[in-house]
Amino acid sequence: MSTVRTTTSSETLPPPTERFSLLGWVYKNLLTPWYNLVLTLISGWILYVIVRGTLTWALGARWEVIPANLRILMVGSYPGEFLWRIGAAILLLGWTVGFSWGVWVRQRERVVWVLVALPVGLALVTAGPVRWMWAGTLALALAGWAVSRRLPERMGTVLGLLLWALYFPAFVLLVRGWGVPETPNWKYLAAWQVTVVTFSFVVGVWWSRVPWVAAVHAGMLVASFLAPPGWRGALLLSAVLGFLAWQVARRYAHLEGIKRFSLQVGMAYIPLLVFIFFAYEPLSQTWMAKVESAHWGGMLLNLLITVFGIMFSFPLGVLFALGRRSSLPVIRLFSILYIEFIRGVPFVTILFMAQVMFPILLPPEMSVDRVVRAILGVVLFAAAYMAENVRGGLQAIPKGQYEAAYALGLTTSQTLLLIILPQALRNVIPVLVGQFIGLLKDTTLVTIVGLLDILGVAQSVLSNPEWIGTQREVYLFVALLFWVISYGMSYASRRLEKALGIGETR
Amino acid sequence: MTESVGTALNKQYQPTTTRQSHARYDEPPIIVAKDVHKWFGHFHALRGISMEVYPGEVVVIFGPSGSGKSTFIRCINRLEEHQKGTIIVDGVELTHNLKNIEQVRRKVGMVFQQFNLFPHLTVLENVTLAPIHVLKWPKEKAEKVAMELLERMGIPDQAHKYPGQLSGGQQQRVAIARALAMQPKIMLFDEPTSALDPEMIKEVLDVMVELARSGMTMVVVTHEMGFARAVADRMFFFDQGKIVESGTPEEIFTNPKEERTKQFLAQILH
Ligand SMILES: Nc1ncnc2c1ncn2[C@@H]1O[C@H](COP(=O)(O)OP(=O)(O)OP(=O)(O)O)[C@@H](O)[C@H]1O
Ligand SMILES: [Mg+2]
Repeated sequence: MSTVRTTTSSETLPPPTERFSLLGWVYKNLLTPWYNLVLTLISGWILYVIVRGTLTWALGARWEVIPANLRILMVGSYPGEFLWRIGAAILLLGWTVGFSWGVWVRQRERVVWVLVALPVGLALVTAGPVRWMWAGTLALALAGWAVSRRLPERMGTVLGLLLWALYFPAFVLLVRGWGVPETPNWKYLAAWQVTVVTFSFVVGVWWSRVPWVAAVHAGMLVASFLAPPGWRGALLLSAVLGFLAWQVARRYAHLEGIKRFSLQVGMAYIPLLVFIFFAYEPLSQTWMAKVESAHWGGMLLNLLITVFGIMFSFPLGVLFALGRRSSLPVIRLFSILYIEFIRGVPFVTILFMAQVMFPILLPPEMSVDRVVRAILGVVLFAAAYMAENVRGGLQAIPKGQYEAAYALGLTTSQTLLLIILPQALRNVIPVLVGQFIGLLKDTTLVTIVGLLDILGVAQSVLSNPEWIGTQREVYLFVALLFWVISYGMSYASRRLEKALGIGETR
Repeated sequence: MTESVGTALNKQYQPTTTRQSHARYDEPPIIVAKDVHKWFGHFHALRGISMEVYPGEVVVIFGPSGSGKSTFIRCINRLEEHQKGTIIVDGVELTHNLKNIEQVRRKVGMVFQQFNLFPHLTVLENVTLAPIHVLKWPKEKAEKVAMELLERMGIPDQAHKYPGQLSGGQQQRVAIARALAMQPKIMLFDEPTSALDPEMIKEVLDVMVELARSGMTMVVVTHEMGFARAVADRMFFFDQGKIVESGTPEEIFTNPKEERTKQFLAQILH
C-alpha cells in the first residue's frame, strides 16, 4: 500500500479507495518490470501448448464410451428391472439431505444453490428416466428443505436425526431387496395396519390443521380395488383404520404432552418395522426380490463401502482412542496393540485377510458375504487411523475440563459424551474428513480382491475389443467423478466447521 | 508489625456490607479431615492435615506456593486421592467406594482458578448441564433456576453467549453460578481471583461475600486478605504440607503466633 492512513483528532478520513481497472492490473502485474514480461510470455506459451494439446485430444476423443457404459460404471451388473430401487434410494436421499439442510444450515445466503445445482447438472447430462429421477430428487430436496425450515428447531433436529437413522437401513433394504410374499401372511398384514395407523396418528397430531392427509387414505381405498386379491381386504381395512386414527389424533392434538406421546409411539414402531423386514426375508420374486451382492458393482459399490466404512469405523475409532487413554491396563494394552498392528500392515493385505480369514474363523455354515467382508476390512483398517486422529483431539482438551465435569458430579461416561468428545471431535473435523475422503479413494482397491467396483468395471470395459484405446476417456471420467464427490465432502466439512465454530473464540 | 498489617489491610478489598457470621458451631462439623497425607510419587505434598469445618462457616486457607493448599481442597471432592487419614464430608467418608464419591460431589461445588467453563456450551447450557444430567431436572426448571442464579451473579444478559465472549470476571461468576446450580451444601474455591485483572477481582469477591452472607459453607484458598478479614470465620496458614497456624482473622492479622506466618503476611501485604 502506498498511502498511509492519517487520523486527526477532530475527524477520521475514510480509507483510501482505489478504482480497479483490468488494464491497470495487467500492466502492473504482468508487463512491468521486464522480467515479469518475460515470465508472462513463457507461461503464456506453456499454457497455450497444454490447452491446445488437451483441446485437440478432447475434441477427437471417443467420449461415446462413457454413455455406452454409464450404467455398468455406475451400478455394475445390477439387474435393470430393479434399477428403480436405486433411484428410490436416491430420491429418499434427496429428501433427507434437503430436510437436514433446512435444519442444520439455517443461514439463508447463497446456500440453496448447492442443493439445486447438483441435481440440475445431473439432470442435464442424463436422459430418460434417470433425468426424471434427478428432477424428482431436486423436487424432494427442496420440499424437505422448505418443510424443515418451518419446523420448530428441536423437532427439526429430532426428525432429522431420525431420518438419517432410518435412511441407511432403508438404503440397504432397497438395494438388496427382501421379497414380499405373493399371498400375504398375517404378520405382514398386521405390520401394514400398524404402519398406517401410526403414520396417521403422528401426522394428525403434528399437522392437525392439514386436511389433505385424507388423500393418502383415499389413495389406499382406491388401491384396495386395484391390488392383487390377497391384499385387498388389508388395504381397505388400513384405509379405514388409518382415517380413524388420523381423526382421533386431530381431535386431541391440542392436549398437553400428546406430541411427545406421538413421537414415542413413532419410535416404538421403528424396531417393529425393522423386525418385520429382517424376519421375513426373500419370499417372492416380485418387485422386492433379493439382488445378490455379486451384482452390486460400479460406483454404487464404492459408495456403499465408503458410507458403511465411515459409519462403523468412526464409532469404533472413537472407542479405540478412548481405550488407548483408559486407566485400565488391559483395555489400554489391547487398544495399543490393535492400533499399532493395523497401522503396520498395508491396506491391501488387510483386504485380503478379511476375504480369507473370516471364512476360516467362522463356522462353515455361517458364510459372510464378500461385500460385507470387504466392508469389514475397510472398517478394521480405518478405525485404527481414526483412533489416532481422535486421540490427537482428545489430547488437546485441558485437564481442567475433566475436573470441572467431575466436580459437578457428572459420571465418566457423561463427561466423555457431553464435555470431552464434542470438543475433541470438533477440533479434528478437518482431519477426519480428510480421512473419509482417503477412505473413498481407497475403496478402489477392492478390485484387487475381485470385487467389480468402478475401477474393476472400467478395466473390464477397456478389455472389450469395441472400446480398446479409450483409457484416457474412461479414467478421466472416473477421476472427475471422484473429484466431484471428494470436493463435495470437503465443502460440507467446511460448512460444518463454520456452523460449529460459533463458540470457538476463547 | 501489627500496626503496619492493619494499615496495609485497609488498602485491600473492602466489602460494602458489615460483618456477620453464620457458622453453626453447635452442630457437628460438615467436613472432617483427620491426619490427611498425600504423596506425589516420592514427594510428600500433604503431611498430616487435620481440620474441621462447621456448617455455615467460611474458612480461608492461605500460604506460600507449593504448600499443598490446592491439593488439600481437591482432596475434599476427591479430585485428588489422599493416601492416609480420613476425610468425611457431611457424614460420608471418602474411600474408593464410587457411590460415596458421587454423593460427596453432589454436595460439594467447586470453583477453579482457571474457571474451566465448557467452551462449546453457552453460559446457560454450562449452568444447566449438571442439574439436567445429574439431578435429572426437566430443562425448564433447570433453566429457570439458572436464570435466577445468573441474575444473582449480575450477568443475566450474558446467558446466551459463549464463555469465550465474556470477560474473566464474568466467566468466573458463571463458574460460580454453575457450581451453585447443583444446590451444594459446601463450596470450594481454589484461588478464584488470581487469574483475574485487578478491576475484575472486586466483582467476583462481591458475589463471594454475598454468598458467605447467605450462610453457605465455604472453603476458600485465597490471598485476598481484605476478603478474609471481611467474611472468614477462621483462617489456616499452610506451609510445606502442614497447617502452621490457624485462628480467627482477628488473631491472625493482629497477633500471629508463628514467625513464619508474620513473614508471609508482611510479604503479601507489602
Ligand atoms: N499432579 C502432581 N504431580 C506431582 N506433583 C504435584 C502434583 N500436583 C501438585 N504437586 C506438587 O505438590 C505440591 C503442592 O501443590 P499444590 O498445588 O497443592 O500447591 P499450592 O499450595 O496450591 O500452590 P499454589 O499457590 O502455587 O497454587 C507442589 O510442590 C506441587 O509441585
Ligand atoms: Mg494452588
